[in-house]
Amino acid sequence: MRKFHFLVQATTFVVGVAVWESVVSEGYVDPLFLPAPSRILLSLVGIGPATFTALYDTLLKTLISFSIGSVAGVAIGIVVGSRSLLHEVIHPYLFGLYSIPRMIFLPLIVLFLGIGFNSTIFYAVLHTILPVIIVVVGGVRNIDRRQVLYAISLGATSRQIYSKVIIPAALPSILAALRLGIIFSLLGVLIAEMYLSLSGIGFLMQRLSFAFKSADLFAVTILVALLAIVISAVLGEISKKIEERR
Amino acid sequence: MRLKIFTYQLLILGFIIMLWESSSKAVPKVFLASPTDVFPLLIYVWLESDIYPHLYTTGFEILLSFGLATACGLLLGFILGTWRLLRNAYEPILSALYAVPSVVWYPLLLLFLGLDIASKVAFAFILSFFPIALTTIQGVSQVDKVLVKAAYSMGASKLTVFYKVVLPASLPIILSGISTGLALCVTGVIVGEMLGGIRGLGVLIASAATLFETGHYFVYTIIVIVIALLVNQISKLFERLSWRS
Repeated sequence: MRKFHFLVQATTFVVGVAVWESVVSEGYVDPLFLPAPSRILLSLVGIGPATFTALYDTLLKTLISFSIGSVAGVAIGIVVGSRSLLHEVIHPYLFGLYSIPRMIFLPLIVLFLGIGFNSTIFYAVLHTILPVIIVVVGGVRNIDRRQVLYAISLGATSRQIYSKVIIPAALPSILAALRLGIIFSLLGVLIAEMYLSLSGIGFLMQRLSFAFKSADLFAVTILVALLAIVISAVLGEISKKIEERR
Repeated sequence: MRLKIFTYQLLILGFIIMLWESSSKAVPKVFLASPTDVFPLLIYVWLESDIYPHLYTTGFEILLSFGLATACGLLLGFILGTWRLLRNAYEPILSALYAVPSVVWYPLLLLFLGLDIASKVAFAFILSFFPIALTTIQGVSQVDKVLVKAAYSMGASKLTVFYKVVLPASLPIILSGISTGLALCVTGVIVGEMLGGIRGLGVLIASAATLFETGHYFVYTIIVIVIALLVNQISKLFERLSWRS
């Protein structure tokens, strides 16, 4: 059974690529828009140091905004989730803010921080922090209240309640939030780069698109998509390991 | 208790507006338009300017992409959810693609489909298709197999089993996916328009910002916020529907 579905995946891939290749080489579509897979592979192999520099730039910004956004988001999430009144007051604002397309605030951020590194980081942190807060709040709210009550009745201090009860119990959702967070900060950095047109892989992609370099654009897109898939898979494995250990 | 919460919420809102008003006095007008400037301008824009074609375009893009994503997502979700082999083969691919930051696809879509509405519809479609398809797969495959077998053994046809057993049992999860998809459609359309477009609210926001028309930028932003919150209420309605059933 297991082998069988690999067979289906492989067949789909091969047939898909073959149809694509033949459609292009038979001239049904303009290779200016849709390049053949062989041409994309050529671009993929020929990716130069400029692309890698841009990719490094983007990843660095992602890492910085992820660190800020996830630490702050987890902290805020734990506090908001564990205080009933605070949660009741603030959660309509959080959900409201979460449901607004955050990109509309990007021009305002640019007005204040200028085009460049600062506004990219600020926007990506904003992009990261909200989903992290919401997932962590959900996790903390789902903790069995009795556990906290027992701890209180056994004389635990508030600090002990957080470090020994709430945080361990909410760990799965914190890990899930971090996994979501890194993808959201990459998304935020890419959006900012595409909008600001200054540096990084997002800017490079936007430029390739406007220059109609479709094969190169395909290659870079595949590269970034694969990278995101790998990052999320690795984080998934790590959090699985951590949860198994407990 | 409710009154107390409500009072605090109003206080926060008042505080935000006061902070906005006072900080807009402190910085040049280009940076921040004050509320006392923005609200008259909002009324002016609403009554006097030619915002309607843009509103219409954005609304059309949202509805079209949401409709397409729901139709395709449900169809694929039901097929993969009921067909075990296909699900094992394709679900990992779908969830891997879902982990890719969506905006990665946008330059390609711009290149394929141009600056007009097609690229926005396609982008918003990609954003909302994945959650709808994935939750449908999840919803259909968690239906109790005993129920399905029981229905078959009592002589129900495939179609009857689908309508009477599978669909009702998986509806709550599916509706939550659809509501996520709807919210993502709005984001997709606005992001797409801001990154390059001809008509629509996102285009208005981006061009007002580029021209340093801060007042107009605030007005369009408020309109988008109102639309997003309205859509959010509608998607909450979806989820409430699922609770009833």
